[in-house]
Amino acid sequence: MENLLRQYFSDSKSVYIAANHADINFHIGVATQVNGSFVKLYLKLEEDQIIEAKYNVSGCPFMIAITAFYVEKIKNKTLLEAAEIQDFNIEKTLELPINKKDRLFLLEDALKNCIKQINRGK
Amino acid sequence: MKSIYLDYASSTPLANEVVDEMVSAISNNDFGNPSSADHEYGKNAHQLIEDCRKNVANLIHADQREIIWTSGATEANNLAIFGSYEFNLKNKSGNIITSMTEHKSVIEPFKKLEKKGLRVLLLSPKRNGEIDLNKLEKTINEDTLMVSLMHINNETGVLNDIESIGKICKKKNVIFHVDAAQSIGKVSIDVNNLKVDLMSLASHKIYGPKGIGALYINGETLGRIAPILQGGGQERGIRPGTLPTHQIVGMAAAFRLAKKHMNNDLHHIRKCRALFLKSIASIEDAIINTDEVSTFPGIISLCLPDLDAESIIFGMKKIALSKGSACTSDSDEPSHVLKSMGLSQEEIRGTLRISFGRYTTMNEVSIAAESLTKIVTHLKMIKGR
Repeated sequence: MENLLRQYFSDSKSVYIAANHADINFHIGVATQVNGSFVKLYLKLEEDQIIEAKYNVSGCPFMIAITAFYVEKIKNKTLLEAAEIQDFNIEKTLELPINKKDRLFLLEDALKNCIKQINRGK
Repeated sequence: MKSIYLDYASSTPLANEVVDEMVSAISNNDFGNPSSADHEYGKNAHQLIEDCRKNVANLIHADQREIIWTSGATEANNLAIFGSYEFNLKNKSGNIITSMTEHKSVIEPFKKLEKKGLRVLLLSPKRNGEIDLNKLEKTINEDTLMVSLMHINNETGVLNDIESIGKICKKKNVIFHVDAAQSIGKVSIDVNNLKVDLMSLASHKIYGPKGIGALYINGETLGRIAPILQGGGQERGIRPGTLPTHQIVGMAAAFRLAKKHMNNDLHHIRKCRALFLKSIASIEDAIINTDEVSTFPGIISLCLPDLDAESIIFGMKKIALSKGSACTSDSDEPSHVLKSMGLSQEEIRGTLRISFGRYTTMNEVSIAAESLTKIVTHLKMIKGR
């Protein structure tokens, strides 16, 4: 597990970098916690399909790794499919400890906020 | 490859000499119960322990009769506080003064005493973590029974002016307890100059074994501590229980070595600190939470605002360091020490403790600094800055 966690923690291929991606028309969803942790999702859609996904994240190693993992998995999925976070088996795959499960809620909130933004634009 | 160890404030490896002496104590005929005065085995162990007591007393310029063995500094703190209460304070009404930066093994016993009717006055430190002497002097009043303050803070390295605090307490005729778990063997302590009544000592922070410590009880205070454990009459009835000869031998060896190496150790960790700070100079927003002047150089409380210390530590894969106190590292609660110094939740979340020791090499310091710089760059990139 440690290796997989470390792999996603260190993986930066889907990180949003303003200098490189500012001209892409992303829908953005942000969720923050009082301690300063946050997840920011950037989704590019064609119809309802996610054709590109990026993120920025700040938080504990699990927060970073689950965000990287999730963003990787939702590419080419529909928004509806992406919203079923439990289908991605994040908890099991990255062996999320019980006291870190609230990190999934932060991810879920970021996605919900992104969907709200998409719906507002429709 | 073994991890580079930069968590000396948490615990230290056993010095080779300590291991040798402990092994010798276990292997030789010193296994007898030191309280068995009727035969050679018991007498040997007893003599060994008394020699060790001299060594431990010697480091703080105390009399050997002023040293009571305990299982560690946590027990020594508990014994000092509950023991004083049982003997002296139980039937009195009044207040006890301590600070918000104390170790949990001081704060928690005081919380218990609060339930028994004593008022506990918690001093908040200055922004640099130090105890404000004027504030302390003003807080002590005619109802004050005891003051308990630590020497070196385990999370930040802040060094309190124990000598001045001792003078204030003496002037006000108040019992003064010092938790010296983090300072013993690292900075010079002479109890004759410090006006301390009780002082908790640890072994495993200075290359001795875990599971052993001591409480120094000033000769004038001697006998004014009631036991908190019930059992045989060991340690003049103050701390019953069969004494662990080999642990005591280890602690005494570590104290003897500490006396011999103190100046060199201090010089060495100053060099480690200077190199580390110079090597991370490119991390623009790194802040040291304490003042250089009032901080023991072996501990750096380093804040990387807006980053998560847990992620920094995770990313520095082969470097052993910590977020703060090892005793509270299982908890998700923000550090009570940093909180009391006025740090924001974000600043606490981004604070690391790096601590150097006798065996830290300059190469290890350079590798750690490089690793920190690298992970900070990575986390900032992920964060989007």
